[in-house]
Amino acid sequence: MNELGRLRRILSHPLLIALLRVALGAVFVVASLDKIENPEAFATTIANYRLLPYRFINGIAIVLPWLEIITGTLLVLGIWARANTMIVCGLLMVFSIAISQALARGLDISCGCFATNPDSERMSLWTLIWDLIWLCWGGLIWVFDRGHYSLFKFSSTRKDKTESP
Amino acid sequence: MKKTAAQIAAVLLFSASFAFVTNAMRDDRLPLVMPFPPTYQCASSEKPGLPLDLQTALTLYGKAGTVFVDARKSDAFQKGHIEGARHIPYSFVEPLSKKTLESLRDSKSVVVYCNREDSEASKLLAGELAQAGINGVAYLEKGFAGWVKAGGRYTGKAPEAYDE
Repeated sequence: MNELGRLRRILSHPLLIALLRVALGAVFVVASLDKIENPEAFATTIANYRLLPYRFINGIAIVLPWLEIITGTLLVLGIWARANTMIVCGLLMVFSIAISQALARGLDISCGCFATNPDSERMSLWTLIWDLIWLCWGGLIWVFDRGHYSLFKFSSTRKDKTESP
Repeated sequence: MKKTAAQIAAVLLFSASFAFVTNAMRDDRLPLVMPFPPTYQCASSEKPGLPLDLQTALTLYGKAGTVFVDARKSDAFQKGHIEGARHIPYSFVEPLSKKTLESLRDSKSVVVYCNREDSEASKLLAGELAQAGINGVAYLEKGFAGWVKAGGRYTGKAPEAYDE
């Protein structure tokens, strides 16, 4: 029990949670850049998964990268952290399902997680494992984040300091 | 929790609106609906199945090594099909299995058809089979309807009475 309590105290340390939040947000921002730059290639990447009727694919290829960069940026800044963590976890769950079905059906495709080039690294079990690690990472943030080291916190602390005599 | 749900909705709505507006302003904008044929890794656009005219198809019919493939859905196949045709219904979300591909590997000619000339499924399936390295893949111009009109052999009902 003591060990568990100690682990919980380490995992819930505000600085650690803030670092995890910033890192997860940065991952999403970085992941979105190539997709925003090359929307057509990203649409092809989604089509490769053969998960959705092709008529819906362009809509997703247009919205998904912007959703990633906006939630990622908000997470880095700590704005609406719980809401954005939930969105990120939802996206990671969808990605996990997409990757799992592609692996189960033996589709020899690139995951398109960070690069839209179809010749980039092929999808493997490691792709799924990384996705699940990020999902757990997001879970930790969702459970323990209390808004420390966020933009709101910084601005309110500064305001308090300037107002105090 | 209500507050979080409202924030989630706001982020989703803002992201979607921003994405569509940005897309509309780009020179290389994506059409909202992916045009036909879809581009994907096993794409027909890379190595398309060729069109095959009715006369050539009628000549090929019954020859050793020629396989006719019906790409339509099960109910359409049950109603009527080219005699001796194999049923491999095309689905974009369901790639062809290795077993299906292996069973066609020794064929000399594979003729894929749907009901009509403008059907997407036969072109896509032909493209996918060609991309997978199957020999002599082509899709039947004029489809099953044209085949029946040209006097080709079939079982069940003629396709005029039903759509794909």
